[in-house]
Amino acid sequence: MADILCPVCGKANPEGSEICQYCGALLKNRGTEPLAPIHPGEMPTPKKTSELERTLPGWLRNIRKGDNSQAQTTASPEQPAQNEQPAPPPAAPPPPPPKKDEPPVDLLAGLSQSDEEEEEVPDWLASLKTNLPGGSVPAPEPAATEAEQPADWLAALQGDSPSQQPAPDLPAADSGVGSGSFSFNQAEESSQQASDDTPDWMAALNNPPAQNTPAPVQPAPTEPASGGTDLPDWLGSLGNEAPQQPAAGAAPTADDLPSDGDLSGWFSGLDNAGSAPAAAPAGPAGDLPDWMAGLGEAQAAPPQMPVENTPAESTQTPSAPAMSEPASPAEASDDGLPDWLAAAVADKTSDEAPPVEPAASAKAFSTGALEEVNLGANDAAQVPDWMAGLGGSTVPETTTAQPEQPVAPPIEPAPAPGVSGADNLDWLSELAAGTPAPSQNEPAPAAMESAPPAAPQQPAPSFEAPTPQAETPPPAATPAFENNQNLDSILSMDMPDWLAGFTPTETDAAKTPAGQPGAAPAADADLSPASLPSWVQAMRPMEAVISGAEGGEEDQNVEKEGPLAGLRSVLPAHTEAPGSRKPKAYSIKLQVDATQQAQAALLENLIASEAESQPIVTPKRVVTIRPLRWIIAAVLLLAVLIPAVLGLSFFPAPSQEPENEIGKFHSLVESLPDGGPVLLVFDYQPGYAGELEQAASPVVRHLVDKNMRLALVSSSPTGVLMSENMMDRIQAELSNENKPPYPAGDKYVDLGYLPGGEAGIQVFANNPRVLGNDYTGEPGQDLWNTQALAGISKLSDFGTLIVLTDNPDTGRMWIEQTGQALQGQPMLMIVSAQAEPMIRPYYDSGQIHGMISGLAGGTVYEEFTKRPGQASQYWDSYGASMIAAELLVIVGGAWALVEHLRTRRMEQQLEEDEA
Amino acid sequence: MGDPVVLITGVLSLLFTILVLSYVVGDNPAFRLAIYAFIGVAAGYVTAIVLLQVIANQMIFSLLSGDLFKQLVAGSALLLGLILFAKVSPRTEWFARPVVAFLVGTGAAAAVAGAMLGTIYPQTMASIDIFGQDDPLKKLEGAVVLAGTVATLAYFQFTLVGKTTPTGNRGWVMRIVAFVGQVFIAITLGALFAGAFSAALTALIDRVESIVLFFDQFLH
Repeated sequence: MADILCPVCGKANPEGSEICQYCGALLKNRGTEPLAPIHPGEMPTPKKTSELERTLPGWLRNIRKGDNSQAQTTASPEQPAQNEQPAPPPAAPPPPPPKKDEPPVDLLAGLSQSDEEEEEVPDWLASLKTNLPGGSVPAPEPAATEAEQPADWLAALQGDSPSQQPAPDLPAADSGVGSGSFSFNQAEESSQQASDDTPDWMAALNNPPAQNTPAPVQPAPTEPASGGTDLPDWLGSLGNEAPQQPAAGAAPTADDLPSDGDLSGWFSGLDNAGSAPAAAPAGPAGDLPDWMAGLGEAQAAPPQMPVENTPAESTQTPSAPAMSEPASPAEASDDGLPDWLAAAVADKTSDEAPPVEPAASAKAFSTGALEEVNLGANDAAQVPDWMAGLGGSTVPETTTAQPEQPVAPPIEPAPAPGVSGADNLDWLSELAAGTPAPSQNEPAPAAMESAPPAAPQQPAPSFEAPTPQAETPPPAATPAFENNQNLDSILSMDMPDWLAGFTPTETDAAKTPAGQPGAAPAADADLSPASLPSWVQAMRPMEAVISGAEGGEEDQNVEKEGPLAGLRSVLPAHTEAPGSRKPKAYSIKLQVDATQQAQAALLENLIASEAESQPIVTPKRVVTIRPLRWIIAAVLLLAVLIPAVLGLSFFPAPSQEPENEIGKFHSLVESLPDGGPVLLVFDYQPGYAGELEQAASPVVRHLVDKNMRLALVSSSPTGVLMSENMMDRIQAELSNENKPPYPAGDKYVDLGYLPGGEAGIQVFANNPRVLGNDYTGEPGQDLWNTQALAGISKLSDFGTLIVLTDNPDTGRMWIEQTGQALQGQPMLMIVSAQAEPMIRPYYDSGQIHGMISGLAGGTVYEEFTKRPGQASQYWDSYGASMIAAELLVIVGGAWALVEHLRTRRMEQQLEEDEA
Repeated sequence: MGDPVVLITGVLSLLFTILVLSYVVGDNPAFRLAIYAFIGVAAGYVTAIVLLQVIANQMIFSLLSGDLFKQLVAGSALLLGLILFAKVSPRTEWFARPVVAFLVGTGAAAAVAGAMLGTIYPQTMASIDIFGQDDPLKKLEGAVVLAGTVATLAYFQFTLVGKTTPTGNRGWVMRIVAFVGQVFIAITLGALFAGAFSAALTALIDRVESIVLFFDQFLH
């Protein structure tokens, strides 16, 4: 099964779907494509009914497809009728011949079949059926022709008509004007037989023919009573005129026609021009306008098309029999008349039955206007000119038979013989002379609606007007004409006019067999169904098709209101809105690709490894070789003790280089003015006192020797102790040298502990006076008032800043926090040997101007000051222990190498042994 | 050795020196006794220093002084200090957080500012200035410093990109540079160790010299 791709979402839908299951879009264009309207003055273009398929909604086409098989079997006799079209104008191209093998494309193809399949027929319809000749009339053909007739021509025609009458009632006028050649006897008989089974209104419908059976000339006395109340006056008058039509038709002599003096001049001229014998409608012709009279004269010419007027016409409306008189095919000739007009003439000539029914038809449409027409028929002197001309025509009854054609009556009257041509209009003269009638004057469309049985009689359907079928003797007036009387009763009721004319026609047409002699020949092709637009024409027959198919479909809905009331499945059965369709089903299954799965697996493994207990790895015990440790300790102790105990001097003091950091340090101290303030920062731990005191003692002594005023501060609590120890050591030296002590307060001030780390240093750098109290003095004593700190208010007031620290970080803090506050004053560093590598970059960058590191630096500085101290004393021990340490490193390295080689050799030997 | 104070000080110095040196034979109670004694004395000394020089001199004497500014500063410091006692209990710990935040914030700010202005910028400029000197040796020194700096930093670059990511190994270029940096690091650590050994050896010499001096004075 081929899927249907949705034009919106592009997804495939199962065949037969009309709405996309995914997006709700329409898969097919369900709307009908309206045909191009035919405007007044345009000639109808013959078309195949198959071409009208596109005007059908999709569901109808689907139904048609579904019924193809049945339609092929049943539509074969109907198919020719489908193609029966009114004779096209000479310029119109002939349509392509239909293909016999292909399935019937006509939407009416299955109509007869559906009728045959009908199981239950309403009583009233059954009665109508029995009234019809042969019991049924093939129905579908009218739709085929109807589809080609636009509705516009009707409106235009109404505008042109002098009466401006409403459409449904005009058939009475038609009949009134009409012909007298109708044979209503059969219809009357059949209607009487069926009167017992029919409802009241149907009975009333059947009765009138009995009343109307009298002489055709009889003016139908019952008609005004029955129909004149419901119908407009003009229609009633027209209906009254109907009984006179048979008389005119039966005796189309000049006696029955109004005299020339009664007719207007133009009508008389028209009458002269016309050769039609239909002088019977002279009565009503007297009221016809001139143009109508001319039209009637023109229509009196032999029709080119076979008479298609069928009983179905009469069953549609009460006045249908008036138009169902087929003109004899022998009278048809190529006189230039349009097809539809020729068909109408043929209808008239073919129906040779006595015009009994016109009374009934006129009764049904007995309106005031018709009464006027009727009166005019009685009195030819009162007949207007146009009506007189109408009466001279034999054809008009075919057109007036259409109840939907309000303009038909004025069109079809034959020109009265006595009408003088002085009053004829030019165009009417032309029309009377046999020129093709314009579409505006065509009464045929209405007549074609009611000519279904023509199909089986035309084996070679063609749009060519003169066909052999046209020569076939038209069927006699069918008993359906009796229904005209019944329809009178119908119309006498409150039924709407359109329904009165519509329902019986359909039913009769559906029940009329195609091959019945009573059925009108295929001349209905000439009857243009112009009363309905094409799309409605295309739709109407489908009712029958739908009724035949509705049994198989459950979802067919009958429209109950609106213009589509009564039709089934016109609208799609999908009542749910597209927005309320079932939402898409999304899979809740997680879509994971390979990469994501790999990552998820990795994460899972990581989590799993976290949950696993890890075995506790016991640290490998370091095996210490106690003898080795003792040996090293002994070596170092000996290296220290021997020089110290023996007082040996093996190692010379380091060389003095004034350009190095120690030399610069000494130079800066030397450059300081004597007695100037110097800030000493003691920030080293007691553990490194042995080293830093040896390095700082020469400097402090140098400062003391220069009588510098010293301010001692420490950012470490233990630094205070170191500074105090330093000063005590200096005091001891001075004491040993018999020099005056260096008194606190005057020569130096211990500012104590500076808390806060870097922040404290920064605060002190910005304001040294935050440290004011000397804990060694009296509480609350302001040290800044002492001699040692005289004139010092900021950090840059000190001649130099000397930091003594064993920690490189401490030295860095002082460098960083006081670099800006010193404002160019030199900063010196006395650091431990372990901090030298970290402080040296600051010396290289110039941030500090001199540096002394460790015992070596102190020894060198003592050399600069020419004052040997403990640093020089320790130098030999230091030298000896350094050599011992170096030897131990070398011996230790050698030992490790030997041990490594030995182990490797042993492993190789073990491998060889194992090998 | 007439001064008993000097004698007692000499004896204690000798005793604690021997106790510390007893570590040669391993961890022993004598060594632990010496360590505990040093720690106790240092802690006592620090407490005394803080109480006297910070609490008394910097705060109490400032509050008692007539200077309103000093009183406000000292009072604020005292209040913040008292709030820090809230850290004792977990329930009131939150109350001391602002004070701790203040301390940490000010300390960090000072450290960052000092590092930027006192170390990073000056050291960078100094490394650049080396190449501006006329002495070729200085330029060579500058090149070595630059190479050492780059190589050392490259050694601590453990980020792997490209094809070497799955294997976890560095590329051959980075391996060479990192090896050079590793050499520089080894030299630096050797220098630091030498300095630490030198400092420790000097302390040992000082202690040995003190013992020798003590005995020399005691014997003489």
